[in-house]
Amino acid sequence: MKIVKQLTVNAPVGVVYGFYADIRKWKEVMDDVVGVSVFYDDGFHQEFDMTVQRGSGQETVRSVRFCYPCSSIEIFQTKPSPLFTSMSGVWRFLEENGATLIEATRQFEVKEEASFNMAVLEKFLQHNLDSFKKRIEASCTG
Amino acid sequence: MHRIESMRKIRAAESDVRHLIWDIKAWSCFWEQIQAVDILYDDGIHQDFIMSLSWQNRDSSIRTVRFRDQNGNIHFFSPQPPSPTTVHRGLWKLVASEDGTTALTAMRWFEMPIQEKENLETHSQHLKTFSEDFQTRLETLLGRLGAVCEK
Repeated sequence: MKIVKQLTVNAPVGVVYGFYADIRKWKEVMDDVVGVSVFYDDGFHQEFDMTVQRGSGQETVRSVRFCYPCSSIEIFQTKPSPLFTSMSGVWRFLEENGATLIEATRQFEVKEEASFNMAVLEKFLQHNLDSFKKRIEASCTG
Repeated sequence: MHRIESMRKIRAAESDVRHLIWDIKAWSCFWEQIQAVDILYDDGIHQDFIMSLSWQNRDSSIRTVRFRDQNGNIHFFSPQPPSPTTVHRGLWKLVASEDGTTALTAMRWFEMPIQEKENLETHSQHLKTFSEDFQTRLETLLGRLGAVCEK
């Protein structure tokens, strides 16, 4: 299964990429991120646990990211959410007249399709894009 | 960051070369230092494994994560790098030719910081020796990979 979402952020591609690449900043940007534990980060590759609030409970997933400066960030989860057997994706950052088009893709397999709600996952991805747009544009306008 | 690179033209299809590079458990057939490979994750695009090997006269355990990009090149890094490096990452770049051969380029980047017992001069010598040995091993590995693909 696959979902794709796009959003334009009014900021240079280097700034947008920088916010996404700095995994330690995610807690400041996303209101549902409870904590991030970084196990490895050499500036281009990262491995970390991220704990997020999901309803009344919390969920921790382990992810690996390959970061290609100002171009894309590839992600896959070695320990995905309990609902999924696999979860991977990419953020692509495309320069558009001084602004940045972000294209976020997620590819995944669910454990039980009957209990899976695609709209919820789409909402989380949209929330990710909206939250970063708000935070980045606020930082650019000072 | 230090960098080494080696290229070999292999008389085999690009897909066959890529398949052998990805099939890390098969490497022990042509790379005798490998004692065991434990695959932690593999979805065909992303792979996470631990390789146990006998290297530099001692047993080592290296954890590596690989990613196959849209062009079929394979990027990797080692969260648990081979000693004495502290950062170890690389790229397998494959380019198919019209004559049916594949140009396989192996690139490696590594960091090897100065040790407590070293001074700048001895570290520089160790670094030079390590880089030369690494280059030789990489060329040998490319030769072995090529030989298996060309069988």
